[in-house]
Amino acid sequence: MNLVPRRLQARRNPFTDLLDIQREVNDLFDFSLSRWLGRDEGLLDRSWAPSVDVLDSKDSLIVKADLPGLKKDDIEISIQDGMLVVRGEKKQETDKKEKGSIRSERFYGSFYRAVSLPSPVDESKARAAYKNGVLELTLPKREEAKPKQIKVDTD
Amino acid sequence: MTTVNRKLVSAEPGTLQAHLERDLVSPPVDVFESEREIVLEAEMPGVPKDGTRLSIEGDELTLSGEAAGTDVPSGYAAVYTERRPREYRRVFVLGAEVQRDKIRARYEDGVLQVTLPKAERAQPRRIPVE
Repeated sequence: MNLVPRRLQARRNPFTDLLDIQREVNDLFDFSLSRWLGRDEGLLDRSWAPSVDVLDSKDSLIVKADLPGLKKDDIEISIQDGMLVVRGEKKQETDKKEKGSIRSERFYGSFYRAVSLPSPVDESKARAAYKNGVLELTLPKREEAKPKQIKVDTD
Repeated sequence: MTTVNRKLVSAEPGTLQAHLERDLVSPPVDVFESEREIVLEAEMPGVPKDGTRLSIEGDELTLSGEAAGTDVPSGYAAVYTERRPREYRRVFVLGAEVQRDKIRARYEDGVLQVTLPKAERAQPRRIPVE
């Protein structure tokens, strides 16, 4: 299933690609709510799937996700069959219960986002950082996935 | 305490251009109240600590923060980006019971937490009966 072109081609509309990817991936996993809604900004839509950026260079991929207010242990990251899955649970802090809640707009509970990776990556070299509520993953590509120069022989 | 959510037009000159380039986003906010204080927690992922701003003008408390979105480092191409540059902004109207000079704020992991202590006289006082 070729979900994402390996190299960035001439600027296509990324939004329909995104909807297609999201729909296909969510059909594989039944428990994501965001397939019932159009894809829109992670903060504003009511199903709890973080907004994500995917960047590609010849050596590695960078994936960033907006996940405010979490502890590192609340985030579970896995890669399988070319799919990156970020999931976890955002818990409400218990000391808040002493105070009365007047208004609750932040999302709590389970979150889930699956991203199709445009290249195979070496999971053992993956690095993750969490700063300012943003999860940043650096995924080095497998050697065989890096673009290779092919020398042209001249006679 | 009333919550006022302002629309996109900014009265400050020179910032309209900035607003056209960035999305103006209302951050989700949780509000908690106890006898002593009111606590606001606003989610603003992607804002660096020095990008958060808290200001009071008259009765209005404005929380804001600028998030750059993803700048693409050299050598990289964007496959797709959902995290656009944005400005988070939310305005609250403070009641008279808030001690404005004692307001404090903390920013951690993309969440701006603002504590608004209430004035002494607003707290219930027990009067002992002799």
